[in-house]
Amino acid sequence: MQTATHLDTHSPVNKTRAAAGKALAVFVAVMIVLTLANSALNELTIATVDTVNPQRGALEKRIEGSGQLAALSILPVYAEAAVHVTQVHVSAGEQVTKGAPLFTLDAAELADLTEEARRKLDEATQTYDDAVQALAWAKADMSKTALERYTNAQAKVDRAQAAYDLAVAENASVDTLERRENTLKAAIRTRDRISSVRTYFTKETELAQAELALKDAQEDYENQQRIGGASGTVYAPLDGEVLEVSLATGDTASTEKAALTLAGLDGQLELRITVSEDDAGELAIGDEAEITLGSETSSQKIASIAASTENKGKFDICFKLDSRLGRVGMNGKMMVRKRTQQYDTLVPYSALRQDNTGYFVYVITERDSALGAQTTVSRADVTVLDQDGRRAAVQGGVSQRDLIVSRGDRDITAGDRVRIQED
Amino acid sequence: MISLIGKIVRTTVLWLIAAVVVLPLAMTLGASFMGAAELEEHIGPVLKVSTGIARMPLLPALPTPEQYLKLLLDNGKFLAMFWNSVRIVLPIVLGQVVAGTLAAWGFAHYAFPGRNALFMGYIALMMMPFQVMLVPTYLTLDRLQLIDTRWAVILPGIFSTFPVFLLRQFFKSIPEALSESARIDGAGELTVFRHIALPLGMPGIASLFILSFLDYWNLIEQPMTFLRTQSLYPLSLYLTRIGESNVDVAMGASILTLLPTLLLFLYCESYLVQGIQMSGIKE
Repeated sequence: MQTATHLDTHSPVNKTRAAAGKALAVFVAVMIVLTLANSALNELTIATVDTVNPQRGALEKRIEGSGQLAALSILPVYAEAAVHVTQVHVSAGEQVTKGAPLFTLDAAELADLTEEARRKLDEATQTYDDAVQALAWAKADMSKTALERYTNAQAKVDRAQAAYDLAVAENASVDTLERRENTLKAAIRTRDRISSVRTYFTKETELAQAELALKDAQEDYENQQRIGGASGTVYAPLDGEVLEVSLATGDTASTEKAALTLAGLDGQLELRITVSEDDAGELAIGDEAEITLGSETSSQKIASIAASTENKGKFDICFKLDSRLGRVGMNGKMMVRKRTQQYDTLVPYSALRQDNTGYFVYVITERDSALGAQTTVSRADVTVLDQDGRRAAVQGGVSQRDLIVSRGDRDITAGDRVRIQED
Repeated sequence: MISLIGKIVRTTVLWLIAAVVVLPLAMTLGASFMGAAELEEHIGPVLKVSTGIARMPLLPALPTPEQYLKLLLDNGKFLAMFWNSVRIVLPIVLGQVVAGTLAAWGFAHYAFPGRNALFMGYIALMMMPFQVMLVPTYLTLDRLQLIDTRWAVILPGIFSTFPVFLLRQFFKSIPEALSESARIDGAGELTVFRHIALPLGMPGIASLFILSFLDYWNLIEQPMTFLRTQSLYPLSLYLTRIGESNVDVAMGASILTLLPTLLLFLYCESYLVQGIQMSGIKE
């Protein structure tokens, strides 16, 4: 009886057997190596993700901005005479009380101006007196008959003027226009021939002008007297803070350009915050905001919302603040919290993804495969209803029971295997 | 002359039959080196991913190892299922060797009451198709809470009746005189089994090994019925799930599934032949 141990080792059968054995061993070894390599590669390529369940709630929008405190009332102070400045008593940023000296003008130059004003006043007075006398003489020269004739002639002039103006307005013919113009000229010539009356009216006009000139000269003189009486010093008309000083000692003051600008401290300051149009759309007058000035935070209401004149396309949000809260020029920050309506599905903003078809999120799915239970991600298209930068209200595709990917350590696509980050 | 003509005719007919038998394997091997586009062009109509007539040339127009690379490198699904098959088949085969040899030796060399009736029972069970035994097997495994575990496939396989039937025939060819002489020399029953039955029955055991491996490596019904979790599926279920999504690796998967059994068969072929020879020898 033959046994397996007595087979010829050099027979073709044994050679085939040896070759098959080696091939089988190599095959198994290759499968082991590939399995280990595949397992190691999977560990390296699988993304680790954070997950979260969508929740019901309201969004809280935060609108923030910063600006500077400014005075509500701004008063420019002018030098009332174009003379040299001998001294400037204040500097920018300084607070002054009402009646405090701001700057002093040259007294000698002011005295010269006062003297000049007095001389002009005398001249104006003399001119006025002469005009009164001339009018009296003209009146004496004018007879009653001449006055009547002058009055009639003036009436004819007025009628001829009116007819001429009418012809012009109606685009009358050239002949008509010429005729009426000639009529007007003739009426004027007739009127002017009555010289005594004309002189009277002329003198009357001159008297009125002299009266006005006298009045101006008188006011100017009184003003110069007042300025000179204060020895050239200009005082603060109200309590305030000096915002800007345009003068320096030795300069020649200008009566047209403000010498300095005062911010009135009448108890209120204004904080102006510039925001985008979208943010402004969320706000309304009267909304409460947290205002931080320095280290102090207070709750203030929005006083006004208006399009910004300095930044096109943006809006200025203004707050009226008590002057005790800060000083002009201080930086202030605003934060407004606005709660929206309740939404059924809120997801972290980081969970939202977008492509050319719209917004979507990745939902964790467990599926059974040859490699065991696998955690993969599947795409769920959503519609974004609202967002506040931190969370988004979405509709469709996900529910509160789903587990969605909020962030991952690498890019993922639908169908990828993932590993959920343990807390 | 007539005998020569007859020989030529017989040889030709045998070659033709051999060609017909080998042709599908050759086509599969050739197709396993085709790219996805070429493969879809040829067998797409069969899987309804394209229209036309399905064709299968023996040689690829553009040979490429793309299918093997996809199966073995792209994702671990094929490898996972391969090792699932190993984890199912090896315990079955080894268990059959242990349980089958003991039972077969008992049937072959021990006379006990009801031996023949019991062996008839084994044969009857062996004749029954799996579908007949499906429901009672499922209920038993379910009661033992083995459903959806590998043991649901392994345990029924270990204690199947075919190994007992096959090995009994081999053990019956071992002379009783050898056992008796060993007993006279003081050997116990276990010693007789270990030193006489196993060595002399090695061709039969090897035959059992290869035949069982072939049978259980390609097992489909039991895994499909008793396993639900995909991570437990053996390689035999990979090919049943070939469809539109993975038609591009169908042929490569077939070759890789076939390879272990083919190599094992070539390795154990001599034992199989010896076993058949031994079964024909009369004492």
